[in-house]
Formats: sequence, structure tokens, C-alpha cells
Amino acid sequence: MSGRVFLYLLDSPQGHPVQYWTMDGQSLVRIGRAVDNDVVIPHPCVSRAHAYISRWENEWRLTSLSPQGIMHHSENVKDLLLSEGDEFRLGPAGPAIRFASSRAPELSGGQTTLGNFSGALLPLMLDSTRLTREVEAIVADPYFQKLQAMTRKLRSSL
Amino acid sequence: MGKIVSIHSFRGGTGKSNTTANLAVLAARAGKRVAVIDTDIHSPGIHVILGLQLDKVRFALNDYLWSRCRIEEAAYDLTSTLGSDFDPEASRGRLYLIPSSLNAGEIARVLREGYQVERLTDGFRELVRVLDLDYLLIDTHPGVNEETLVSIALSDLLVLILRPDSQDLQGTAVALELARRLEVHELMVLVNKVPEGLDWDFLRAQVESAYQAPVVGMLPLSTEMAKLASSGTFATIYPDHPLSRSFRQLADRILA
Repeated sequence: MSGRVFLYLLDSPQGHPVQYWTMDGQSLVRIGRAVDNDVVIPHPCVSRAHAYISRWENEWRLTSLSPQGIMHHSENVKDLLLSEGDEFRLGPAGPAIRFASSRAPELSGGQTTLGNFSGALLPLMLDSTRLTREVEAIVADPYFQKLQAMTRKLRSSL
Repeated sequence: MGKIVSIHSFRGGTGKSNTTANLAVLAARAGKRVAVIDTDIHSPGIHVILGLQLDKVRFALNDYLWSRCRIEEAAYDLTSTLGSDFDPEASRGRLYLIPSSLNAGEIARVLREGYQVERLTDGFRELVRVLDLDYLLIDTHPGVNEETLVSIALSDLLVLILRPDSQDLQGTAVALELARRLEVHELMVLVNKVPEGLDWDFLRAQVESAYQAPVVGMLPLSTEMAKLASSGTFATIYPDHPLSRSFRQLADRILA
């Protein structure tokens, strides 16, 4: 598939995502616990560099960097060609992630958990890619850096 | 004790000022020496909830920032508003408010000239010292800007208030991460205006999972609060209402 794709973190047993990341134009997306990844997942069972997704023409491929591998349909794999709606787990005990080409797949019907959004649950969504971009832009600003230096000085003087 | 607590929201309308006012009143009633400082110079408002008429005051925060007074001269003792059953002779509790000026000219000047960070920092320290405060609550302007970042940076504890709404969730995530970069000692999240009929445990789990931070409490969307229309502190007017009980629990947790 071409265009923008989404990775949804499925944190709850019912599979309702809150956090998601978007990939649009990148050909390589790194996933792992370390903060220098594109998709940072601070889960204890996720390896620092767990996997990466690479794009070649209209194909997206998930490759494991971790000895824990990727769980897909109960099989542990090192390599996976991703299809629309595919769900995989980072290692046998890590969190599940859904790969999709549309935003908020829950609300578009199909084999989704649409039935659970009956009013008791809210479709809250956090765009983690946008979050990282906005935070890095603010943190890079000289005013913020000055503020950081000032507060460090203040805290150490207490 | 002298703990500086910033209460912040990314967007307006989250109930930040009402929550701040109620927590301040309840902490004072519980025997704490509390001051509230309205740093929302662009749109001051907490004085309305706490019942301080600005035309009766001589100095406001703006005057301190432009070096027209000492900060304690802009602090007003509102302990007498804590309820007829509150005896200041018997309790250590006190409530002070340092309001911002509602003067249009002042607001325009602030927007044009900004104000000195150092002056605000010194002001906070001076307030804690002179008024012997247990807590200094900073009612910030919504959003991320230079002034709110300063308040956040100077805080020992940051309480972020949001509604269960994706725009609030997104914006609050930015504020939370910036607070982490500024090494704020304690971070708490409060979900306010939760609509009826929601699975509260699930909502809490959603927010805690997205933020990797504790949700210190959740408050319901309240018609009675809306009808009060910021004309007073809810917990003083409706002390037996379930919402007031929730405010008391929160005051116990946040301002122990």
C-alpha cells in the first residue's frame, strides 16, 4: 500500500489503541525501547532495538532485530510482509501493534471492535509521531534551553 | 514546607481554575497555609471564583512585576471566606490570593512587553517566606508559552488537568514531556469533566498508558458546577455534594 500508514499500540486486552505513530514518506522506521527509535515503546519486554519496518515501493516489511523476534498469528518470526490490519507482538510477552493504512480503524467497521464503542468507552487517540515532532521543536528553541539551564542551576542550589 | 504547585492545562475550559480554587480552600480548611497566585495575566479569573473584588484591591501581580510594590502587598487574605465554621484562632489554615489585574491597559502591556522571569522567581520565593506557606498554587495560563513554561519549571509538583478528549490528550502529552525535560520533581494528571456513563477504570488505564504517569483522580462533568458558573467555590457552597467529597479526596492526595 502507498501513502501514509499507521502503527497502533494495542495496550488493552480488548485491543483498543490509544497511542499511534504515522509513517509517511520514510522508508525506514525503527521500533524499540531506546529513545532514539522512531517508535519508542517503554515496555520492559521490548528490546532496546527490537525491530524495524522498511518500505520498498508499495510493500512494508517488518524485520526483527531482537532475539525475541516478532509474534504473528502465534508464530515467532524474524521477518514479516505487512498487510492491512496485521497485528503483531514485539516478542512473546511484549505489546501488540496493529499496522493499518487508515486512521482509527476501530471506527470504520469490519473486523474491528466497533461494538465496544457503545458509549462506555472513548476513542481517545494520541498521535505519538506528532507529539515527538512538537516536543523536539520546542526543546530545540533557545528560550527552552535557557530555561532548562536556569532550572538546573536553581535546583542544584537548593 | 513551601511547596510550589503548578496547575496547568493545555487548553482552556478544562476546569483548572475551579479545581485550583476548590483545592486551595479545602487545603486551607484542613489547616494548611495556602496561597494562590493567578499568573494568567492574559485572562485572569480565579479571583471571581474565590470572591475577591478587584476594584477593592490596590495591588495585583502586575504591579509587582513592574516593580510598583513588594509581592506581599499584592497578597490578599481570604481566610474569612473559608466558611462560618472555620475558626482561624483554632486552625493554622490560611488562604491568600495574589490576583492579576483585569485592567485592559495592563493586559495589553504584558502582551507587548512580556515580563522578567527572574522577577517572578524571586516573587515566588518571597511569598513562601513572608507568608510562611505550606503551598503556593500557581494557576497558569492554558497552553505552552514562555510564562507557563517558567511556572512549570519552577514547580515542585505539576498537576495537569485535561478532559477526556483527544485534543486535550494530545496537547497535555506535550506539556507532560516538556515538564519531564525540565525535571519537574512530581507530575500528576487529573481527568476532569468525565461524561456520565463511561467506564472510569478503562479511561484511567487509557490515560495512564498513554502518559506513563499516574492519574491522581478523575472528576465528573457536573451540571451543578456548570450552573454555579464560577461565582464561588463549589466545596464551600455544597459541602455535602459528592463532587465536593471528591475535591476533598484530591486535596488530601495532592496537598497532603
